[in-house]
Amino acid sequence: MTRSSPALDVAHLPTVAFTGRSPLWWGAVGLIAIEASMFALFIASYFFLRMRVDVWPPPGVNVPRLFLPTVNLGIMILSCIPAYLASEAAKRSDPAGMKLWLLINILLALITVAIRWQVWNSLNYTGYSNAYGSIVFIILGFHMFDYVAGILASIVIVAALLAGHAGEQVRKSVDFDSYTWYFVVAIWIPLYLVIFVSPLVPKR
Amino acid sequence: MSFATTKSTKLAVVLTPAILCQCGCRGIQSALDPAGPQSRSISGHWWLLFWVCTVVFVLVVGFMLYGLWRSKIQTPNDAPVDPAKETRTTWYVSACVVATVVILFVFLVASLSTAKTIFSKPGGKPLEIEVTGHQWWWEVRYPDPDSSKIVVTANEIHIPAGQPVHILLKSADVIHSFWVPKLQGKMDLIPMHSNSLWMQADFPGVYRGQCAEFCGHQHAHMSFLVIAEPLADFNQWRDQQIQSGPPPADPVLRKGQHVFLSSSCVLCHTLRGTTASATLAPDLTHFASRHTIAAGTLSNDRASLERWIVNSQGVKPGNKMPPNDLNPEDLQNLLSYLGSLK
Amino acid sequence: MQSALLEPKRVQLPEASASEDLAELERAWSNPRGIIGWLSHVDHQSIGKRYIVTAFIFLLFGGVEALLIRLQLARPENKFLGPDLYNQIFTMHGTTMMFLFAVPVMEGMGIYLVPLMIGTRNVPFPRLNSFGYYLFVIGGIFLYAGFLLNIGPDAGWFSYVPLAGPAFSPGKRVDFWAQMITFTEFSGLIAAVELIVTVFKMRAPGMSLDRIPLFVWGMLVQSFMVVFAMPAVMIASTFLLMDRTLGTHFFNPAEGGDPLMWQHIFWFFGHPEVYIIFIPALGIVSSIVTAFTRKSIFGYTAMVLSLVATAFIGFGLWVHHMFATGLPPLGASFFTSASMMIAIPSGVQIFCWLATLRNGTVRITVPLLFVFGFVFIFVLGGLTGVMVASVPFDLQAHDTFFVVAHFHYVLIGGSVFPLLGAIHYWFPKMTGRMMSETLGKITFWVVFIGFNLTFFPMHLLGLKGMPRRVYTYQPNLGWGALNLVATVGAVIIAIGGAIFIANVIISYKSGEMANGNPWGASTLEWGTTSPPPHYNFLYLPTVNGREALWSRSDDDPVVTGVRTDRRESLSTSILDARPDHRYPLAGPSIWPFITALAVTFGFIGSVFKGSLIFYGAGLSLVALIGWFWPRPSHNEQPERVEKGATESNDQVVARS
Repeated sequence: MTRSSPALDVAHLPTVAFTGRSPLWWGAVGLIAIEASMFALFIASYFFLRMRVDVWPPPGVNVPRLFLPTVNLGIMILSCIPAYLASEAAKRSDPAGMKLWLLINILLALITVAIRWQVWNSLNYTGYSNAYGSIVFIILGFHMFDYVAGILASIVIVAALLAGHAGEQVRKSVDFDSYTWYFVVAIWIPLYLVIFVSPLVPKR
Repeated sequence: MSFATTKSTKLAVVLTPAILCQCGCRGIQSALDPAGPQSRSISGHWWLLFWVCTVVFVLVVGFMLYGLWRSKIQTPNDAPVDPAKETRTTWYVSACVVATVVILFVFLVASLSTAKTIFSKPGGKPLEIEVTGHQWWWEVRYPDPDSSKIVVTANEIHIPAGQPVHILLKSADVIHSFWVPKLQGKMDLIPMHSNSLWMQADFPGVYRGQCAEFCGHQHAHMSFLVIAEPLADFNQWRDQQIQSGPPPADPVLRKGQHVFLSSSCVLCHTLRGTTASATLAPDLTHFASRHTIAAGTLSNDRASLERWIVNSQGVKPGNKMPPNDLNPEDLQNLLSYLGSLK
Repeated sequence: MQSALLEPKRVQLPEASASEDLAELERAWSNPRGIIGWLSHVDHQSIGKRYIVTAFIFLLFGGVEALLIRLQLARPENKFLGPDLYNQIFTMHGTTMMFLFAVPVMEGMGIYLVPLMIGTRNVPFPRLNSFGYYLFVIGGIFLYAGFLLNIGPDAGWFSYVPLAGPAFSPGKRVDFWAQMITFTEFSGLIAAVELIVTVFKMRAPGMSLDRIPLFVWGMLVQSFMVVFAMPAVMIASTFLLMDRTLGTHFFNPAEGGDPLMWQHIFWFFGHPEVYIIFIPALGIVSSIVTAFTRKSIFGYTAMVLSLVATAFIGFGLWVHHMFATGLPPLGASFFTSASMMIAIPSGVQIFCWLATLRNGTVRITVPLLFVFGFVFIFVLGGLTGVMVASVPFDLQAHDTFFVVAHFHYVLIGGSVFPLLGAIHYWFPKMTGRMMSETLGKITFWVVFIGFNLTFFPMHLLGLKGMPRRVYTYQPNLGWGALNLVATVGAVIIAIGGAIFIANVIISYKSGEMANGNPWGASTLEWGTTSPPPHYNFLYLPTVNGREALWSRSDDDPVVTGVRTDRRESLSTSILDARPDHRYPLAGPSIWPFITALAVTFGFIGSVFKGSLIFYGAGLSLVALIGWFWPRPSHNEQPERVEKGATESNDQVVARS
């Protein structure tokens, strides 16, 4: 026996959505909230340790000059532009655009990694020297990990594009990749201020 | 703002002993059996909290039971909502919330007032004492500008009854916590931090304290005694403690001292007046004047001391004193010597 | 075989298309066979049940540890356990209960129930869900491996430094604890993100924010708390591991570090953690009370706001765990106020439930008995909580058995009692069989009496001076009798637990069969079969009121047009749940398991040799590529439109 019933038909609805309409976007927001909490706690720990001693940075520590980190920050911010253009290409399903802008983003990002490495090597302390070194290096290290992970993800996506995949999943991945990239760059701003700028106001 | 505390304290002081003596609140380490102004203030505060919370609990659970008791036959569908009943319910619930807020506010005020009592410097010149926590014993020091008058002992604190005491708390290793429930709340001993607390015993007596922050293997056996004495007795004790006695005259005792000075004892313990001056373990200069061995683990008698020296690991496994294999004559001489260190 | 009473409403389009849709759904949602198949499951019911069963196994371990503790403490100067073993056991007890039982079991309940309750087919990231489960179970196994090798952690479940640091806890013991945290917190964070996105974006059409069941609100609020709290413990445990294995100085006061920083970071997590455990239980209570009073919970908006307020305030209490560390009194009193203030939203919830009970028509069943137990025990625990919120009183009660009593009252009363009620309540849905009411009632009374006998005396023990975490105590202190009573109570709880397990096993095998809605409840999970098919609902439902099934009428449409030849569900808008787009769901995959193994290599390896973390990261990258590499089935295919649906949009379709 059958009983009929009204139906709300959704067959005409698309299967791809971007930003606020997309569950994947909200997943990325969740990931960003988690990472932001982590970095906020790192910053809080930095200032907590600073509060407990009389001299900060400790004697013997050289704070790096601001030039290279600031230039680097500028390039990082710049690299968000190709990331944005790649996500726009994804929205309009343009494989060539996605490839081009992702490659430019990766190139800029690799340049910043090289500059970063240079800055790290110029520090005259390590994570094992004292509490100051420990907190600075864990901040630098964790951010570098996130940063490199973002670059590797972009590389894998480009590889998929070059292998001819350009469907739903790749487009959503490019979009996801772009906003996690914005986050990784944006979170660096307060970290940069804490590590490189705040010691210019030393505690004596 | 001491209104809440004073009134509740009076009420509690009246009601409590009468009703609750039977429950065995007394004890050498009981917070419900206060013996000083700070702990009495906390105890009064506790009784206020206790009685109000008991009444609230009875009301809430009573109402719940009433609601359950009223079970009715279930109707197949969600009962229609009666707006008048909903409004009345809203008023009742709101009244309960308001009552909750009021009660919490009263508690907060009482709490702040009691806190002020226990943290503030009492009148009169306080006695200064420094306690340093070690894994698993208490180093006790009575500082003095004249260094020959400094008292160093372990696991036992003497104080004059009726006078305020200020205790500075430090740690040599991990976090410990200094707690004498009959006299005051606890305070942690944290390495590279300096904490302190105020304490006072109104009457002479023995009050037991225990470490209250997990500090490793033998946290359970890290106790101490606070002995409050009349001022004259306290001064006498203190003068005694300052002495480092002359070498013993009695041959047995002299042999005992020789055993001590030629064994591994000197690697850790100090005996003022001799060459033994290591500070890893308690100062033993007036060992026999103390009531307990090993931070309250054993009572200080010859048999227990023998057990302790020969195999402290059997008594307090994991503690830092190794077993000692002494020949029987040496052991007995040593015991006699240590027993003479009053 | 369905019983005649309370048939779930069943709606069908013309028979031909319904059975074809059914067959296709069965095919698309079938789970692969064999061990590899079992490891590849990604449907939320599987994963949810795995979380719940695994968590209960850890509950058993934690319970045995508790019994051992009580046996040792039954008499003064008992020689049943020496200090080394005792310290490991109480550390394992707390760690197991908090990290391996309490949070995962609530996550599991959420993962199982939330997609059903909001009317969707699965969580939005099915493979990630599976990955999260594997991390949890591997983390637990890792911890127990250390314990069974007699190198288990022994510095307490909150592992204070410097005791837990490299100088005073040499060797690997505490490292096991710290890295287990990394596993389980990753897992918790994954589950939280899943639940948030599920609740935001996958609700049935018509389930606007003010129609979301209170259980779902509870899981949503809890998930937000997890997102902001768990990073703190991950950071703390990472700092600790680095100090211990690499030689950093986060907590080393000699080089500028601070042992108190551990306490601040840990408790910044640790206090929200207990609300993370407690808030889902509040949701459970609402579900059970609604079902057995036939009434919507009084004051829905106040209930939701109370959940949110509890979550917010819960982040502002952490320093109350540190009142004895020598804080400035003014700062401490801020935390006293906050710690007392949190009683207000909890109070609001209790009053609303009591009002619902008073105004509804009550049917006493086993789940409702557990709610009674919850009110009794949790309210008592909450009141002692208000007591210890007061700094001066806390300075006597802190680190004594008074506090042990307090937190067992709030955690067991506040979470375990509702959980036991939840199992009795949802067991029919999960298995298709009813649990025995008789055995259930016996379980309740035995556990209730045993619990109070165990923990009530501890209030007095604490006030009589007995500190926590002591492996023995002296006979002249007058603590022996109360300790013995507590041990007897613990044995009684164990008996109750055994009866509960017996009930579960017997009922699973031969309990009375249950139809879709044996309780006549109102939430959507009761609107499908027991147990539900893997795709949850033949046609996704729409919702017309706060109590979905009670406000359902024959005119309410079901959703058609979602593809049945591949796994797909519907994504709706956040506020009003209007259909937005069709959302393809990933199918079974072994990659989450493989990735979990790669991550495990990195985490466990790095405990022994720091550089292995990089190898682990490399392996994980390879595994992730395997996981996410585009596959043909994910590419768009020409759409196959369901039979019976028409071309017109957003309209009610004419009947057959």
